[in-house]
Amino acid sequence: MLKKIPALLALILFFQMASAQSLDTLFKGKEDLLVDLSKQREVNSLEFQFFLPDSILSQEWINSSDLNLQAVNGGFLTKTYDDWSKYDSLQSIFPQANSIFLLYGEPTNYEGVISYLNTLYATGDFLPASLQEQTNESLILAAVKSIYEPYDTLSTWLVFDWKLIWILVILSLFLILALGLILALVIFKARRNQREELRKAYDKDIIDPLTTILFTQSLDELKEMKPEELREVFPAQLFPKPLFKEVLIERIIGLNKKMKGEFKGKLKELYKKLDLIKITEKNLMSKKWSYVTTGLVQVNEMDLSELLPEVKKHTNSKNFHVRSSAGATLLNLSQEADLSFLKNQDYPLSDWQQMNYLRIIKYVHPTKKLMIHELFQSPNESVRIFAIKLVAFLGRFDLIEQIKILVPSAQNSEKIEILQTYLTLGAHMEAEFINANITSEDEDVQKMAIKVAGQLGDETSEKILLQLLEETSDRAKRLLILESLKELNETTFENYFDEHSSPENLQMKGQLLDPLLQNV
Amino acid sequence: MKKILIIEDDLLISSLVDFRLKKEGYITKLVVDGNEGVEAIQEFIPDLIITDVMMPFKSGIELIHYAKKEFPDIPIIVLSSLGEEEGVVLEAFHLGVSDFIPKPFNPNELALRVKRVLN
Repeated sequence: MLKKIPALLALILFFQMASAQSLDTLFKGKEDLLVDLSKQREVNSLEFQFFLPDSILSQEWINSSDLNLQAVNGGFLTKTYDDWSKYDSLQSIFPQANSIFLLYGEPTNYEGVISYLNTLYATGDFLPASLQEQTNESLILAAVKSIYEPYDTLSTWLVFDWKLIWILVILSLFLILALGLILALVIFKARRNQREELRKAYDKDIIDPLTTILFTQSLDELKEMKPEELREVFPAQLFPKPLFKEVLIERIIGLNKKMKGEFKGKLKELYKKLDLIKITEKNLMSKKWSYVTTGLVQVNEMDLSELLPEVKKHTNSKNFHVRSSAGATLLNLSQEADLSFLKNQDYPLSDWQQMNYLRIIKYVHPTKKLMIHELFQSPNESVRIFAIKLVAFLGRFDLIEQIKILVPSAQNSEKIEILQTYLTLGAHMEAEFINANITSEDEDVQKMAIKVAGQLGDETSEKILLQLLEETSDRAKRLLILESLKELNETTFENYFDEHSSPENLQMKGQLLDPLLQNV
Repeated sequence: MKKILIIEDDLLISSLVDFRLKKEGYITKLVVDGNEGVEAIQEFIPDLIITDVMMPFKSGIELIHYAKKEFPDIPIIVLSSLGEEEGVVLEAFHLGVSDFIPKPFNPNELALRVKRVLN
């Protein structure tokens, strides 16, 4: 490796020398330089002048203004020249004259000129004439000297710049979309305002005729009136308009909510006679759920029992609001309608729906035949659970036998509800079911069974609870069992602690007997 | 002829009440909110005020408070759908209203109650 170092150094030196070609090597002497400068004609800040001794000048030359001679010690100096092409002609006139190089107006020698030209050469501002024919660097000089002109004009650039075109297209689309949206909003708002104005106007047109009819006509008179006679009371040109009918429906429904007595009957008669019931029917048949729900509300508010068959069709709708409203309307209006419409419902009953149905059943028609037992055969688990809850809520002790049919195939959630129902109704005769579930593998069912056993259990329950107590180490569950045992049989409870007086057991006993801690 | 001021934001209800009371021969004036109600009491000086409870700007309870302070002799009947809210009913009676009619109501019954209060 060490042997190769001198060879490497020699190679590097060679390349350095080759690349470091300077003007020293291009110009062999002053003559060469002057020939090159003559070809260059002008070099920035590099000038010349001649010193002419007294002996070579005639009086004629001295008086001539061409040379603009300036007297100096021992002779004359010509004016300065920046055009090097004149050098040869002047030299030929005065062969004995001495030339002087001027750099930035100051005299310099040959080395000074070469050094200056070297600097210009390095920066690309000077290229010897001899090299201009051999190298392309003349192009660079030409480029430096020429005025910049863009290759492409602006219009061509715009047409062929695809990225710019895409950006412009996207921006334009965005702008069009934004303008479209603004326009749509303005139109929408204007229409809504116009609609609101119309509603107010229709309101005023409705108030007087409606008030007059309600107070001047009795219910019987209204029933005898022909629809045409009734329509004549309202402005004829407005009645065919859908918005007018919509406002009229709203007004009648609003009034119906706030009126009672014969006025409700009159409003219902008006609703039918003015054919508003057809709009309700159309709403019920609509494919849009919002219209159907509106129709159901209208049926419910105006007590339109003739539309109940249409309402019934919506009780198994896939839309939650529709089937909830349909169920509620059916229960609310029809004395004949029972809960059997829920039996084949495919969708689960939500807590809200259950509460709503219960409210109607409990407060609107407490004496209604509900056919709860049919719901026990429903394939829908949530419906069966609702039926079990109803037995408890309505105190239907007579349905306990029906619940028993459910037991063999009951799911865990149903078992919990059945146990809760037994507890609510105090069904002591169902101890067998309770005992079977004390050892259930499902934690929630087991806890509920233990809790219920405390109230409804028998001797078998005591034994199962004591056995479970031996097998269980879970403190919470043990506490629950002990609490049940205490409720079931106080003596068995006390006996257990006589036989099992560990500190933990005694602590649990203390908690169960402490009036402050027993509910913790 | 007795003058009755009806303060109710539902125009249809107020029109019905107005129609029914005019039929009985009363002079009526309708206003739609609590603020207008206060102004109307000062200008109209009614023999009876019928007012709703839930109204824009000034509630019925505020209006009763004002009326009973400034014009303690004018009887007031409250006509409201808040009938089930015991607090509102008690407060209204505590302020000295003569009657409370919950919605839904029968205009004929209202007319009878008005007659009873004015007599």
